[in-house]
Amino acid sequence: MNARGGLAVTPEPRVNPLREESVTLKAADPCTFVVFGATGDLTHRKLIPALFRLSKQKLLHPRTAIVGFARRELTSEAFREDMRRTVMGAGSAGAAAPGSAGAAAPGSPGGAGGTAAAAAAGGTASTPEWERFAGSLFYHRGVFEDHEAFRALGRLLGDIEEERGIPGNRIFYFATPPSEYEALIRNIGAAGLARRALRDERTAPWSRVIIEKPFGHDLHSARELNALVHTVFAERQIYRIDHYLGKETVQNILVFRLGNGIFEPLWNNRYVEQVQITVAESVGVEGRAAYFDSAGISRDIFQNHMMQLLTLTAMEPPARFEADSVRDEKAKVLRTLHPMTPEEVARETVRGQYVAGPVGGAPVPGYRQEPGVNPRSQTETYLAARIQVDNWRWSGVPFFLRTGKRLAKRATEIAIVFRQPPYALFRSAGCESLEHNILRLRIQPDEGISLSFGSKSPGQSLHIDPVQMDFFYLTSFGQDPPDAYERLLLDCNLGDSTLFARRDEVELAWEFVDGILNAWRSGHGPPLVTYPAGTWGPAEADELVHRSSYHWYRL
Amino acid sequence: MSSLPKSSADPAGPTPSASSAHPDETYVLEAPDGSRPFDATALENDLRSMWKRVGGADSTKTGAIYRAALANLVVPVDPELTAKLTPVLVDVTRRHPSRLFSIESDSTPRGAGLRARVGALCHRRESGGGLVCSEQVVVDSDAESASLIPSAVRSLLIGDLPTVLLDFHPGLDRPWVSELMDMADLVLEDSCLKEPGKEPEVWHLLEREGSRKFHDLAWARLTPWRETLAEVFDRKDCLPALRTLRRIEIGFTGAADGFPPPPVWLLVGWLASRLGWKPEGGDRTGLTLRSETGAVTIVMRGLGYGEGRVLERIGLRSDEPHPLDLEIVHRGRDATARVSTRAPRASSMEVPFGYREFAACIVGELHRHAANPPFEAAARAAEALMRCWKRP
Repeated sequence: MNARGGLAVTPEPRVNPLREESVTLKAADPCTFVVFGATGDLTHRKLIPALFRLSKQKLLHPRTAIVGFARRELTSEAFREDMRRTVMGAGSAGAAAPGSAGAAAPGSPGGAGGTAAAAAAGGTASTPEWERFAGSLFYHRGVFEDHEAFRALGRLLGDIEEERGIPGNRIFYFATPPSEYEALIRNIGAAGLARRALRDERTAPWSRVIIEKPFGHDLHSARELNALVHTVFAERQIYRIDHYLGKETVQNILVFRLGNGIFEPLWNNRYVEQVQITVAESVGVEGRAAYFDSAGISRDIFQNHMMQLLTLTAMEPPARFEADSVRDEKAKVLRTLHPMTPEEVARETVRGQYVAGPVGGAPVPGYRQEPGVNPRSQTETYLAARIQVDNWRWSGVPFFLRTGKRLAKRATEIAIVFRQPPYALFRSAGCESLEHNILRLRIQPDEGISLSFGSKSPGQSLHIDPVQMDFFYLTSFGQDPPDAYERLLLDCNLGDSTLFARRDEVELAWEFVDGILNAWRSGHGPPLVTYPAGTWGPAEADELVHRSSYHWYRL
Repeated sequence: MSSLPKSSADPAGPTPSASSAHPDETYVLEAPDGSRPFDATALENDLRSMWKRVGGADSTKTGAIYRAALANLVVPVDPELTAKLTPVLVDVTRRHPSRLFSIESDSTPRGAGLRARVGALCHRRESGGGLVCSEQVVVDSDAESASLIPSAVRSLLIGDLPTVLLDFHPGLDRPWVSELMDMADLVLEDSCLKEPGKEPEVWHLLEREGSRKFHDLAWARLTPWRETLAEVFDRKDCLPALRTLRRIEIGFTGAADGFPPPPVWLLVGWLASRLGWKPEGGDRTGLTLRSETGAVTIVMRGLGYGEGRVLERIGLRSDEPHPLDLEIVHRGRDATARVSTRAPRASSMEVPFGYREFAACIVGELHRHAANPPFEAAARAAEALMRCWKRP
């Protein structure tokens, strides 16, 4: 009260004093997820299980709606039943179809006959939880090129939003082949389904779009696609998804590096001798032959997953842990990648294609014998490269990257190989050479981190043997890391784009990869060599690292 | 908690099998030698031999068995609360694998001394394919040997893991509990377990230990209420009303004349500390505080139904020029709360409410390592307000 007994004239508060640091978990906004490609493999295997699990954990707003859009003639009831069977693990047309890499097989660990999708959804879908979730599922039949179908979709969304009290927030998820993106964007725009971003999203309904990789098939097409998407959505409404970034282990790269005092000081060319990044798959093309034969491993994995792992490993500490600061630093790494000349491409890259061989004890056909693959295909299923990051931190440190299909096992790992001590103190005792210290960041499977170092073997004589310090997510935290899609879908709802690729990142990655692909296309690249399925790739890849007096580390 | 859950124990051969599963997929392993006079070396040997036997078992039935530990969880338990707390502790180990020390003093006949046995609580991985196990050490003592408990625990702590005291024992003044507190890196108390009016005994520990080390689970329970209130005032049309709040009504389950539970006091303390309200006095109907714009009346009363003194309703009323008349109601374990507004405009909506089970509250606190100034300020204010209030 002021002196006259009236209300004190003090400025109105601009910040909410009840928003204190301990209340940080932002609640999800009510919104409608519109999934294009709702009867497809990705929706069955990943999206619906992830959304169901988020719903079970009460991380989605209770008024959330999910609208599936696809060509197939289905009612909402049939769509719900199809999704229920997927989540319950009983299989469905979509779920049972051979999936892409990492597709779940019935009877996965646990032996309960469930699928990985069912497991990812938190075991079986118990009835009350599923019923609550199923009530939020709707289906709209339409062809992506049909303007009228999108206008009808708009009417359906309006009805659902009114009925469920959703203030118009929408997430459009493109779970379709990239060839459909153009029609989707044009028709979403033409039907007025998306609202252009306003400066303050808190006061108005928002619209966001999630676009699956590959984002373009080269730099030119990526730029065209970016330009097209920008006709409807502003950059901050666009969430280019690379599910690798949603993996706990990938997010942990930055935490490990920058949240611990002991590692970042060593994270440079003074202490690191080389870096090896491996994304190995034991599966083949798994029903994606048409797409894969036109893309190859360079576009399917190298341009996106591997470039993301490379940037997170090599980036400078961001000014803040927020979307643009992190993505600025990742983009800087891509700008410092040494662009390869055709001669360097011939010398520093290896492209391979698998031929028949046993994988995990079972014979598999060669790539050209896979159903749907051109019998004379020149598409690479393996790529290894020696890459230079030209900046102060990494000058002179080679980054060896390799990725392939039908390799000996499924494993993704970043190995930081440290320099040896400058003086061999124990030479006089017969220890001529010491093993390198290797820090391994295991992205999948057996998620964790290990550090190898030398230790004196027990006994009278001096023998130094490598031993390991191991961290496993499972034994430390008692649980497997959550599925990447859960995190990414929730982040999109919350408007946090830190774990999504920005326009410049995508284009810079293409710029680098295009240099390799163009040299290959022009005949200046290395020849396409073969490797037997179930091995670690062609001998030429071993030669690539041997030339630097290194070898690939065993996974 | 003097005994491990028994239903799946298989002392003859600790090999979990599908048939020995609890409905929630919890399994119990017990070392074969059972309870013995406390001997750290012998108990470690019991654990080793238990794991050896498990390692030799047929893993095709169970999948792999992982022994995991993120912390040493030391839990003195009042015998009267054992039945209630056992499932909570089982759930805590599922969410946060730990070496669990369950301690019950005065639980054995005079002359029995200090006894202990070891085992493990195992949970099926959500994704299937194996069990994740937390080792458990159960310590019982007679009254005379209680003073030996801290040294016994100390001898079995896993050295490089944090030690958390999860204190469910009402006797804070017992020397052995104090000694365990000194030993711990983190102390979790629950002021809701204190006798009505004695809650400040718990909050006084803040002065001694600081909020980085000392946490009150009553504060953790309050989190979804604070989140919901903060959300309300994130709205630009509601924010100015914070300055002109005139009346706060807080309803909790239980008798109409019941003593307000600690979350209610902490809520009022939190509002007072965040909004700069000073206590002016109190009577049988409530408290009066002074804000920068006028008097604020706080009414706290039981709703006359239900049990457990659980916070269920908050009503807020603000004067001109920023009228606000709003009510938040959350019942039981609902995933949502209803926010009903009569002014500035009428509306009613369900909003997400981050209700957490007790075990989830505990584990949430285990993951918080920073000091908590809002809690410190709220507890100080709550105690000051409690002194002003006259019990009806």
